[in-house]
Formats: sequence, C-alpha cells, structure tokens
Amino acid sequence: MRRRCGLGRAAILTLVLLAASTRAASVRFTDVAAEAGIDFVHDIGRSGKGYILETVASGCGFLDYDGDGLLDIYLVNGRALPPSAPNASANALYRNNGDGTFTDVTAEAGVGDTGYGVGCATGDYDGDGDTDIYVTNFERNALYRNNGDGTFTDVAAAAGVACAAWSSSGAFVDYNADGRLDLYVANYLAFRIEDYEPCGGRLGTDCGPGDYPGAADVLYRNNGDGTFTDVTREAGVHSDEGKGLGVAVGDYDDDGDVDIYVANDDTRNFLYRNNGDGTFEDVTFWAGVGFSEHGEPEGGMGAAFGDYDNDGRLDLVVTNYQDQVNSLYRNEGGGLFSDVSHTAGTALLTYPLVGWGTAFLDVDNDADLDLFVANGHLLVNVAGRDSTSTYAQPDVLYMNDGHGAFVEGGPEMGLAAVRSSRGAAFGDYDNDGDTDILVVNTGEAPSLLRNDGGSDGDWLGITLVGRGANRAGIGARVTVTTDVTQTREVTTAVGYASASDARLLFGLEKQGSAPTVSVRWSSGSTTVVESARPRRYISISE
Amino acid sequence: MSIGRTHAAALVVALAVWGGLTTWAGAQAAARETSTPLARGLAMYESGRMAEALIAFREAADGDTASPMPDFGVGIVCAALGWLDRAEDALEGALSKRPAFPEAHDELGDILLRRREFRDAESHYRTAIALRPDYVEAHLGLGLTFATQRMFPEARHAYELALALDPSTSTAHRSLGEVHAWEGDLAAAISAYERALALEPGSVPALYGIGLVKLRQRVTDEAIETLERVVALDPQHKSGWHNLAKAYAASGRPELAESAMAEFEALHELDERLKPHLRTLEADPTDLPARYAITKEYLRAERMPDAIRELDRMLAIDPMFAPALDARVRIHLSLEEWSEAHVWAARLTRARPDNVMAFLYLGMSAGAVGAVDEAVGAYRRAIQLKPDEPTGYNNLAWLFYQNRMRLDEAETLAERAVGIEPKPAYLDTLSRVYEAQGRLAQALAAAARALAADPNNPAYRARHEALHTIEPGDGP
Repeated sequence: MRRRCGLGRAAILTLVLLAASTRAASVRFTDVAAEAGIDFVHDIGRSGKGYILETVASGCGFLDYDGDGLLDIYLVNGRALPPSAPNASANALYRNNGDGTFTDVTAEAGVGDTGYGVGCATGDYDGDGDTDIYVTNFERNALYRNNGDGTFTDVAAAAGVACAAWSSSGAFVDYNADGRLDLYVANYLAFRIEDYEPCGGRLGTDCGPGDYPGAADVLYRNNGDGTFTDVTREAGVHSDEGKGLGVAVGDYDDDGDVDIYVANDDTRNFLYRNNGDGTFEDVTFWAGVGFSEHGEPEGGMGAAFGDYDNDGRLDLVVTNYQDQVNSLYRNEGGGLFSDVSHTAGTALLTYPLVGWGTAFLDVDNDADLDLFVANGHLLVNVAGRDSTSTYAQPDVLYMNDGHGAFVEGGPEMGLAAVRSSRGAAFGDYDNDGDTDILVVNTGEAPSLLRNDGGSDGDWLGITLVGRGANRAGIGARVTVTTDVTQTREVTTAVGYASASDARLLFGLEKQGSAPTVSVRWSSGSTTVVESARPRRYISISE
Repeated sequence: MSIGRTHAAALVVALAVWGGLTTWAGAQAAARETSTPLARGLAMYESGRMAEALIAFREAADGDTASPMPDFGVGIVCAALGWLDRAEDALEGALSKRPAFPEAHDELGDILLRRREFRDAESHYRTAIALRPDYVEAHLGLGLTFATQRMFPEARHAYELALALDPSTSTAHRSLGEVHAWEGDLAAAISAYERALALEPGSVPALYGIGLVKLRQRVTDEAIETLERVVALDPQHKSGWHNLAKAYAASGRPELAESAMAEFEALHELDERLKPHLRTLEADPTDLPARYAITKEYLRAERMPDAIRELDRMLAIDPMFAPALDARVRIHLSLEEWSEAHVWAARLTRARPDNVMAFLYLGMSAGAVGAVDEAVGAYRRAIQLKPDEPTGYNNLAWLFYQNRMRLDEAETLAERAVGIEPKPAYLDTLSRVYEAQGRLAQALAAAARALAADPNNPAYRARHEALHTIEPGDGP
C-alpha cells in the first residue's frame, strides 16, 4: 500500500491516501483450495508422544512442472509416527488445469514421497529446461528429477544429496557463478525417534529445540554431471551451532554474488557473505542480523529478502517464536542492517504469534513490497498453558504504507481464518497479474489464497530465460523503473521450507506507465528492456 | 525491550505490618534486635544469603506452626531461588493461615506471572490491592501482568496508580517508558525513562531504555553516549554491548564497533554454554549438577557474584553439598576474603570429614584470621588423612614460622614437605625456617634451589640476593 505525498499539501495528501487505501481495500484473498479440487490433508504424525518432529511440518511449492505456463502445486506431508506405524500419507502434486482447478497427479508423476516431509525446493538443477523438486525430510531427502514427460525419478542417492540429517529448508542457488544450480540444505536437530524420551517439566512432556543438539547445514556444489559434492567445510558454511529452519538467498551487499541467510531456532542466525571465490564468510555479528534487538538468539523459523523501501538494497525479515517479535532488518548499506521491527510497526502484532512462512510481496501492485507471515503455534495444547496463545493463529498481511512502515491488512483482506500454518509459497497461479498464496496448515487442508483485486492496477510479470543450465535465471537481479525503481531477485527459496514462483511480478505505480526493465544476470551480463508493456508477462532472455 | 520490575524486600514490609511497625527502618531494626529464627532468616534474606535464610525460616516454621510468617519467608526465598513450585506451596500455606495477607498475595502474583498464568496472577494482585489499596508493589505487579500480555492501556493505568500513590517509584516510571516504547511513542518513553533516572541515578535499565530508544530514533551519538554508560555501569550487560556495537558501526567507527562486538560475543558465548544447564533447571530447579556446571562457567568467566549466587542456590538445596562448599571456599580464598573462607571451610570439613583439601582450606583460612590453634589442628588432620601429601607439612611449617613458634617442628615439617616434593614454594618455606633457626648456609642453599626451580620468580630472586648479604651470625 503505497502513499505518495510529493507536494506535501494536505489536500493532495488526503486524496492520495484515500486512493492508496482504496487500492488496498480492493484486494481480498479468498481461500479456494476446496473448490480448486485440492483435497490434500496434512498429516502431522499423531504419535501421541509429542515428538518435536511433529511441530515443524510442512512446506509447499508453486512450480510449473510441466512447462505449460501455469503454476502447479506441490504439497509436502508428514506421515504417521512412529515410522513403523501404518501410513497412508504422502506428498502430493496437483496439476493446474488452467481453469481455476487442479488435478492430483501425484501417482502418475511419481512424487508421492512418504517420508516425514518438512519442505521442498525447486529448480532446474540439471539444466534440461524443466523444474526439479528437492524434498527435505526427516532423515532422508528426495531429489525428484523431472523427466520432462510429466514424471519424476528420485535420484537423491545417486546425486549425492540424500542427506541423512533432519532437513528443513532447501535453496537452489548458483553460489559459484558457474551457471549451474547448487543446493543449500538447512538442517534442524540431531533428533532420533529411537532415542526419544519425554523431557518432563511442569509444562508437560514436549521437548524443545534446546533439548537436542543442532544438525549442521550442508552446501552441495553441482558437478554438472547430475551429481553434487558436499562442499560445506571448504566453502566456509559449516557450523555445529545452528538449528536451521528457514533459508533466504539474495545478494544483500549487491556485489554480484548470492549470499545465504539461515534462520536458526533457539540459536543465533547465520548470514554468510559470498566472497566471490567459492567461499563464504560468516558476517552475522557484524551485519547485525543474528539476534533480536536486545542481542538475544531467537526462535527463527522463516526468512526472506526483499527491498521493501525501494532503496535498491535487500532488506530481511525473519519470523520468530512467540513472545519474540518478527525481526525486520533494514539494509543500511555497507554490510550493515538495523532492526526496524518496532519503528516499522511490525513488532507488536507479531509478538504473541509464532511465525513461519513469510515473503515480501506486493499484493496490491502499488509498487512497494508488503509482507506476509503464516502463523501457528507448535504446541497443540498451548491454550491450556498460556492464556495469551492458541495453536491456531491468523496469518497476517502487513501492508506497506510507502514510508517505511507497515499496517496490518489481514482480516478485512480475507485472512481472518485461524489455523496452525507453517510453510507458504507465493505465485500467480491464475496468471491474472497478482500474487496468490499457498499455505500449509498442520493437520488440515491447505489454504490456496487467491488474490482478487490485486491486479486492478497495472503490473508487469517477468520470466527470465538464462543462458546455459540456469534457465530460470536464479540469482538474477531485476530492476523495474517508472517514477520509482523497484529491485527484486529471482529465487524460488522464500520463507520457510517452501518454493515459490521463479517469475517476478512488479506492481506499477501509475496506470499506463511504460517501465524500463534492467536485468543483471548471475553471470554478470546485463539486459535492458525499455518501455515494457504492462499488464502482461514478458520473457527476457540472457 | 523487556518489561520487569524491581522487587523490594516485601518480607520486611510484611514483618513490619505483622509486628505492628509501620516503617521499613523500624522493621529492620526490630528484626535485628531479636535472635529468633525468623529474624535470622530475614537478616540472611536481606543480605542475599538464601541458603541460610531458608534454613532459618524452616526452623521458624518448626517452632511456630500457627504463624504464616515462616511460610511466607520460605516462599519468598524459594521464589528468589527459582523454585516456583515450592514457593507457591509455601505462600499458599501462609495464606491458608492468614487469608488477608497482602504481601503473600503479591508474591504469589509474581510467581504466577512468571509462569504466565496471567488470570490467577491478576487475581492475586487485585486481592493484595483490595486488602491494602496503597500497595505500590501490587500495582506494579498488576501493571506488569498487563504489559506482558501487551494490554498496554491497562498496564499504563496500573503504573499511573502506583505513581499516584508514590511518585518517587522509579520502577513505575521505567515500566511506563517500556510501555510507551512498545506503543511507538518514543518521546514519551524517553521522558518516562528520564524521570526514572532522576529518581534512581545510574539505573542501568532506565539508561538502556533511553539508549535503545535513541537508537530507534537514529540519534546515534546520543545512543552511544547512553549505552557507553550502560556498559560502564554493568560490563556484563549483553544487550548494551550489542546495541553499542551497532551504534558504533552506524556512526562509522568500525574499530569501536568491533571491540564492543567482541564483548558481546564473549557474553553471548557464555550464555550459550549456560543454556543447556538452564534448560535442565527449568525442568528441575533442584538439579545440583546443572547448577554446579553453571557455577563453573561463571568461575571460568571470573563472574564471582554470579558464581556465589549459584553456590548459594545449591547450598539452599543441600547445605552440605560438598562441591558447592568447596567452590565457595576457593572463591573466598582467591579473593583473600579470609573470614568468609574460614566459615565455609569449617562447613566443608563437616561435610567432608575425610577430605584432605577441606582441612588444608580450614588451616589456611583459620591461620589467616588468627585462629592459630584451629589452623594447627586442621593441618594436623590433613597430614593424618594423607601422610604423603606435602602441602599440610609445608603449610603447618609456614604457620609456625609466621608465628615464630615450634620452629624445631617447623623445620622437620618443612624438610618433610621438600622430601616428598621439592617444589619451589616448599623450598622457600624451608629456607625461611632455616633462617629463623639461624642456619644461614642451609637457608641460602634452600633459597638457591627454589630460585633454580623457578628462576623467573622475583620473590625467590630477591630473597636469594638478600640472604647473600646477611653476615654469618646475623640470624635470630
């Protein structure tokens, strides 16, 4: 929700504010999951033991697996616990029929993984022009190579990315700028069901992240032959300190290479600055993004980069546990961030909530990024213990006021439902020019939040076609300039354990404006498109 | 920013009311004039000696089962030690004996608030206020209950009532500052913090609040100035260092930022090492190994007051817990706090009557406070317990030498110590005893051996040189 007050005169300001409010008010999200034919029901495990495993699942993805220009849906599922229990749950793939409905194609596509699923990442790792799916599981991950004919094959073991740890989020990135998508996998805890013992204590038997050591994250370098090599240590991103849940990738220091941020639960977060030589440096302390405003580690769940103030620098949001505010870090340049959660107005609302999936997105296409957070407590019985909290919580949309602050725009915009949400994916599944949202709700059906009214104003959709194996242009930086310059980067890894649309969608400030689009590809080359025609998706090739 | 309140010694207030006294000073004076277990408990509580306070209050409870005060004392001590279950039981015991007991309601409110049982906490604070409308502490507790739930108008109202009763309540001003900061009224927050600071100069929480708000306002230089005061007053203020580092970085002073960040990192790392043990204590506050591990971390970080606090907590759980007694003695010895060391060493010998180190500590500390006979007895016991341990011989020889007594025996003892282990310190003792006995050649030889064994020790060098200058026959 952008407000412009260029002349500073009260009358004009009032008019502009009214106009902005009207635009935001015209946007409404409608949960169309059921009518769209998505009959998936999430299985949290139902062990009755209160395994910590049952608190974090699961994520989801928007991806165009069949290359028909329509976003399909991948839903990650838990499974019956303990693993020996009879299980009927599996991940699911829904093909977009192009008419607002979806068809379950899980079986024919062969992507119905039955491990205890946490999240997914998407990308064309083998450069064959179609989107592959990496599934993060408790204990063993899957890499579904897209066969290009509507089917997939799990090649995780052969590719060397099966990863025996409890993985949460994954991100396909070209960290070494060799044109191939590498893979960063955030791992959570060294927890084994076989060794489980109740943690006891006055609050019951639930164990928290503090009861288990962390599991180190892994960076896999793409060898270009269908296999990956674990380069975690040599790249400088090994740490036994983390308990990773969310991963965000972006070039926060604008030096042309992708940096990696990890939201850790119960321990400090990580910001790995890419040195440009295949190695990273942990700059978390210096950058000021590892802790709360008071210098305390928090329960980090999800993370996302985005330039919410249109200053050309990627800012950062981190969703956190209850009684911690979600951290909004403004990129001040020079490698420094400041925590503006309180002054930007996102702190107070988030305090009682447990935040998970998140993203900066321009829901009303007014040329500034709003902020979505999926919420839900992890303790099913929390309300009996804490009168300020509930297991089911509302998802929240913070509307950007165009002046560096946010106001809540949730309930009146169709986000009044309360569920215990986890991962969220973002993309324009109906190709109407506004961003829709897919949310996984634990133990329930997902929400497919169709954005109605977001495309009333002008917009521009951009599909990048990279040279070589990185066909989707992952890591490219795109600026769209009208009166204002907006900056975005291409990534599918956003928020928590989920994969989003690789296409970019820009709201245009003025009706009828003809923006200039500039692309800085991860190879370093640039492409400029003058006077792009709005209200359509355009394709830009490297 | 966290919302907290300073808890005054409500027990003293309660005793004042109980005893028909109306002033704080009167209550303190009355308590000190008596030697009852209750008064002892109060004195120990006031001086932060929770283990002894708990023992005294329990003794008081055994002696007077009808009075609610010993239960209240146990409750307040247990609350201070973090044993919320026990504290709750004790306070409820006090209330069963005297339902119209505002301090007990207030304390119970505090415990329930810590447990996030907000409705019950509010109920107890309201009862306390109904019983005593001018009870400032209860108003503050009520305010904090609301503030924790982010019910800011209600919190503000409670704090303002507290201030109406006593405008000099700095905690209420500070708490109002925190509420204003949460509500985004940064100017009002600063004003409230400054009022708190005027009432309580050097208040670290108020200063930190101002520093943080200045940082949010991007008034970086003023933030730096304030946060520098925070860490000067409290070098362990992790949040202060964190924000100071950020402020330095924002103001383009990278070297200062790095330095402040290093301080922050060290404190963060200590917290990380403590975390698993604290987690254990969350489930069981009486877990002694966890508390002992925390103590060791504090000792490693040279945070003696924190270490002593943890030791006190251990000793409140088990007054004869030898590792805690041992650590307590060593801390006081290292700080040359001989009287304290003497007290704790005596306890350690009772807890570990067969432990040679306990008697060595007792010997050292007793000798230092002039209790020579006790020191001699302790060293003899140490030698008896472990005849091949040289320290007892050496220390006893040194004690005799220092007091110029039993020098013949001292010589034998020192020779024995050196015979077992020719450590420089033992050679130095032997040299001094020889000198005191007038055997200068032997004294010089022993001093030379000490210096040879530890050539960089300036004391041995000086002594060796001094012995060279003494003419034969100059001895005593």
